[in-house]
Amino acid sequence: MKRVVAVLVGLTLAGVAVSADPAPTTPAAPPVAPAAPAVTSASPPAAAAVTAPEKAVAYRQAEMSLIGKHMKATRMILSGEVARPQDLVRHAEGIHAGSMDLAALFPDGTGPAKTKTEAKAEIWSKHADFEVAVKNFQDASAKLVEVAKTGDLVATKAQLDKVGETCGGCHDTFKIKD
Amino acid sequence: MEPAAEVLAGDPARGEVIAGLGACGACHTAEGGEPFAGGYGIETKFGTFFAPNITPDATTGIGGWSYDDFVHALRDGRSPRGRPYVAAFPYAAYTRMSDADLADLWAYLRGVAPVEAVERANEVRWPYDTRFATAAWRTFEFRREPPAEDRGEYLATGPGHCGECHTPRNAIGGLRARREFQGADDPPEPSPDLTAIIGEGWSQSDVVELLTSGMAPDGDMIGGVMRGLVVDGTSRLSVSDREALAAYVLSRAPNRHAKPDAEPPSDGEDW
Repeated sequence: MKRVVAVLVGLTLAGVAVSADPAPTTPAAPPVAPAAPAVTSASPPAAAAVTAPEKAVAYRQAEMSLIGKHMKATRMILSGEVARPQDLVRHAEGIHAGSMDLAALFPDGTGPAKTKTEAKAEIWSKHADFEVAVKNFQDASAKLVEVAKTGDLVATKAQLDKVGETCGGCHDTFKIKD
Repeated sequence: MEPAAEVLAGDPARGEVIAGLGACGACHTAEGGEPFAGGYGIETKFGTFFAPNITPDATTGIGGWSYDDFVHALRDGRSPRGRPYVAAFPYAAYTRMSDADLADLWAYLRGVAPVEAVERANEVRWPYDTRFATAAWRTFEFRREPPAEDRGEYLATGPGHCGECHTPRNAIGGLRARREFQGADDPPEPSPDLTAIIGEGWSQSDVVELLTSGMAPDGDMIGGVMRGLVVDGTSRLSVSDREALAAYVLSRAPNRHAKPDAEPPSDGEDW
């Protein structure tokens, strides 16, 4: 198959917009102005008026990748490969943080008809279902943070599996495999 | 139906894992449909095949079958009335299943909820709808093979039939052995090229992890048919079975950039 990575590896659901603003065509608010040094003449980086679809995809792939890295790290700790239980809460929080604005990373115009992405058209055609899938991920990852804080590794592992189910369940329907 | 005439020692719980490993439901369950009640249209270049109802419903399913009928279907690829099955049903792989696994699978399928669902006729394009096409396929492509001795090879080539999805097919639907595991676009969904994926540097433990939790080395969670196969099948195999399966797949899809497996977990002093 053309792309190796495909099903298994591709992290990428596809993804996009830098701003949470659902309407990507509106000029994004400039990124937080540099706080202190108003002194210098350096102006803040100009925000692109419109996020290019391929940039949007690259960004959401990066976001998905971050979630995946935290998942991987959590799995490595819980399977006993590395002795870093003190990192579990941080990774769980990373996963949960990544879940919160996930749906906004898929603005109109960043589907497979418009650009190269592993996001399926169903994200837009069945958007309500997609939002439910994202919500499931948010709930499961919130619980993961909670459970990780108790220090109960067995329960954390069980919850990690639940989080994984929400990832895979969403990928079933909304991610292209090739 | 012969009521309780079954003298088989099949274990339905083990059979459920076999069914998961074989992803029977990927074809025999329609989207949103009752498990194993058939009806899913498998679209191929040869036409659309509707996987039959394999629930134990007496009239529309396989409730009227004997165990012999079942074995005949899986090992010979023929219906109880002797009709050869089309190649969309990957029975060449099932000839490589052990007696014990067939008995377990049968025990499990006997126990699933019977569903009344009439089988749809296949819509096959000429000339593939002719008996000559089926005969040609059976002559040139269908081989009965004994179950493999190596456990990993057995799981991969028999009940798991990995190659039926991951190996591309030739013009008459036969698997192209020289391109084993190089991925295919066929239903139930396109499958990736395992040789390329593994070439990215997967280790044995990476493959085992995928078969256990569905997680790829980069933390991605797989979806689709393979996810179901992991959840219902490979994750419920023994650890040694998963390791054997992973070793076999790696041996057939060599990893030229193999990274050594991490040292076995020590006391953590490496950190």
